Amino acid sequence: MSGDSSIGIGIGLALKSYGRAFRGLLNEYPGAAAAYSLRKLSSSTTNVVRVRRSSDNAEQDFTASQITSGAMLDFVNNSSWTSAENSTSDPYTTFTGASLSGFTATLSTGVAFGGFGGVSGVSGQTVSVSFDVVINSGSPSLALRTSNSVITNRSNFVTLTESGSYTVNLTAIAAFGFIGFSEGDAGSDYTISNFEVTAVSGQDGFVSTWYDQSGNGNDATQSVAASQPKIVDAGVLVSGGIDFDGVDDVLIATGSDISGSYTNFSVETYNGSGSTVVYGRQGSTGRHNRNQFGGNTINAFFGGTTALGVNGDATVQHLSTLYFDVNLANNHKIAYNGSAFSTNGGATAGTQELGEIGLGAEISSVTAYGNSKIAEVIFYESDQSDNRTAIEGNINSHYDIYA
Amino acid sequence: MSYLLYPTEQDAWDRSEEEGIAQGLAYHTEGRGSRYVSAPRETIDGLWALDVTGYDLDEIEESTVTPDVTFPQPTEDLM
Repeated sequence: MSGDSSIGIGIGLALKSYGRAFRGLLNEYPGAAAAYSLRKLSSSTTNVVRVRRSSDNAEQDFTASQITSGAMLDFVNNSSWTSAENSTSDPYTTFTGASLSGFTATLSTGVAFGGFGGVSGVSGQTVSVSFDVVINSGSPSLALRTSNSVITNRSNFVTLTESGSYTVNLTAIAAFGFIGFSEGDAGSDYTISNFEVTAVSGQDGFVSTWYDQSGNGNDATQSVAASQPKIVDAGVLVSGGIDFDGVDDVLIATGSDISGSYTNFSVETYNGSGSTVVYGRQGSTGRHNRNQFGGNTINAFFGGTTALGVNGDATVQHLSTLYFDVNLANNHKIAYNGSAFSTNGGATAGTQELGEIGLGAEISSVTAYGNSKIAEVIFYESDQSDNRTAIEGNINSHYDIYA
Repeated sequence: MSYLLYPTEQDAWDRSEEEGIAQGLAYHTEGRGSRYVSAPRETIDGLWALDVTGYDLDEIEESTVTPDVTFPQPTEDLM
């Protein structure tokens, strides 16, 4: 035996330590034009989603493992405070040493408050804070306030009579935008340090970007906050995928162009009312969509006079598979949960291309926003009939949709 | 919902972005991500309605905000 056998032993140990390298669906079945999921589909995937939290509009990217570990949920349920401020309407006599961790306040006479801004919410939400206080005189109180200039709508409050470390939960009775320490007594003199907002209950998280894992850069984005679908609802991770509200939510893969025949695999759930679009053509005339017509049919329509369809309960999470032929409508076919392909209605469903991808809506010759949860959408701009069973098997083994 | 009406779509987008700046949306603090608070929609009168629920409105806006806006009927479902 020649060479350094310790190298071979080292490699062997390394493989044993780390196991097999990750291989996702897109490694096994490459060539996707666009692929969206909250799970990791490729070994090259980094972030899968970018999330905006409702408390302070901060945004952050997340990997699939950070979603399953709860790190994304922790991000949404926490909040950053952005300033320590004296009130502009009822200020302390002095307000010094202000930083994100604390301040020193004194009051000669009258009413005053000061505290921390940047955290906002609505009635019923609870803000948890921790801090240290050194009280030289007085007994300041702590509560949520409307703002640093509006002292009304005070939440429950805690009066601090002794120096020490505190953890306090404050529950809002109205919209709030300020965490305020109030005077307690004329002659107050105290210092707050190590201040932290440790949690804000009932926060929502919204998707501003659903990253394309195909490697083609067809990220689906939404720059309008009100039109972003939800991933965390009232502090809880949405089950079944990303929730599109059926009113105005849509993620658009700007610049994408699915102009030819394609195969699509989608994991989706119709929320039971309103429009049923899963994805559709964006920003151009003509019609092209995949939907869940009536909640009991998995449909697709390409500008013709009928829709391609297959029966299936759309109100439970399901896997749809579509082959769209841009040249020959007779070749369209669709399946529900791995069923045999159906060609019903396909011959007269039209051949309008998809073009730019909109997830959750069709905004073309018509505008329709789907009321659905979408967990995964994968496009191959090719006929994947040969791989269909294997791809569906990969998807079903992850989501456990059907027996 | 509460709406402000604008003669042009761009005017409405500008107000939405102004609110996005006030609310600290990521595009205005990090240069990427959320930029606008809400999206304008065209009314049957050809005006542009912006849902300003939750906006910090000035006195003039407070006096002109309206819940009464009529949008074109959406096309019913999908074929």
